[in-house]
Amino acid sequence: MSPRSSINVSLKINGRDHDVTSPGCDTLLDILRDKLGMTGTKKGCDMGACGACTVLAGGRRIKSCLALAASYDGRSITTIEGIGTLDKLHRLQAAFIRHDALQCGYCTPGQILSGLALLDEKPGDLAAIREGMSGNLCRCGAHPNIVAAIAEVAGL
Amino acid sequence: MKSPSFQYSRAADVSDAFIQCSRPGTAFVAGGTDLLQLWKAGAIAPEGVVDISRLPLDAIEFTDGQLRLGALARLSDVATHPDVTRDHPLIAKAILASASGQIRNMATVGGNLLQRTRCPYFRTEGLACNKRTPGSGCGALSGENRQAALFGASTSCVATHASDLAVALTAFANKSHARSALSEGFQIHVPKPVDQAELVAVVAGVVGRSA
Repeated sequence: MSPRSSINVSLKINGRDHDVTSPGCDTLLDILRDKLGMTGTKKGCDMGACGACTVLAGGRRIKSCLALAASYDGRSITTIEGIGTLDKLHRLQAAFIRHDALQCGYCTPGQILSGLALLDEKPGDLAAIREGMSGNLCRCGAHPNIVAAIAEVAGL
Repeated sequence: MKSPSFQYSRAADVSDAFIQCSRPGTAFVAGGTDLLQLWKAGAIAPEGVVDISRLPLDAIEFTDGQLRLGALARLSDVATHPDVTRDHPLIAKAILASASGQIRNMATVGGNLLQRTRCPYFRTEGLACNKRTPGSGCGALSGENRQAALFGASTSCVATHASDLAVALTAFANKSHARSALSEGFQIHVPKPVDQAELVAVVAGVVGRSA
């Protein structure tokens, strides 16, 4: 990789400014994990199908494995590291625990970020939650409990 | 296998985008949802990628009964736009049938219509595909082809276009569009709204069976 092909990218991640120099073909997912050490965002299929890499960009959920980091220069990104704390979980995280909405937990960061964005979209019923979460796969099969956790926070 | 890297640049305006993209081996990127998949799968290997996502081409306008969708309008913005849901629910429904909430937040109208085929032979390195490697054959012709074409196909390629939005947009087609399709080599063009009995008869005719 020649230095010529590297570019500077400024990102506001979870409210904090980060400047990275990186090849222009790096994805947002690769920058988060490999350059910034923020490994809460997971790499699953790396092809936009599984949703493990879901983050929020300007409050909207996206798949960071299909996002060129350079395209998001200057944008605000929210990752799982910015949701809740060990002492005070976000209420969706607490609902996931109450509803046993995970087993291995690998897909959970993506499920939480996707669920948060879906709550903003105000799903009207359980069918809307199931459809809205169709971009996040769970190999452990916790989908019914994930839907129940989101439904609880949505007040359904 | 890691795909070969490419040079990233951002278009300053529309004319700059055309100038930058005139260089051989250069591709546009907006949402990136198709380009990055193709690149990672080895189906394309651009030397340069020009980011057009910040150009002011994302308007969704409804004037005098005419709906205009900007090439860079995000699919989720089109599907939830009040004018679209009120007057063109078919377009909204087609978009909501596509991909996932995350992808619809990234993908653009232009990228959706320009996406490459999702035929697995095209998108998998090492499999026979005349579209990716001319002369290598068509694996889908006698392979996994449940989503391959019934109409408009040839013995070299049976790939289809994956866009649900494109299907909805063709509902607004008229007789001149039918003529265009036939002059481009389609053997048959069944106009919408489709009559089910007519469609079954046409398909039966194509596959050489009685309806």
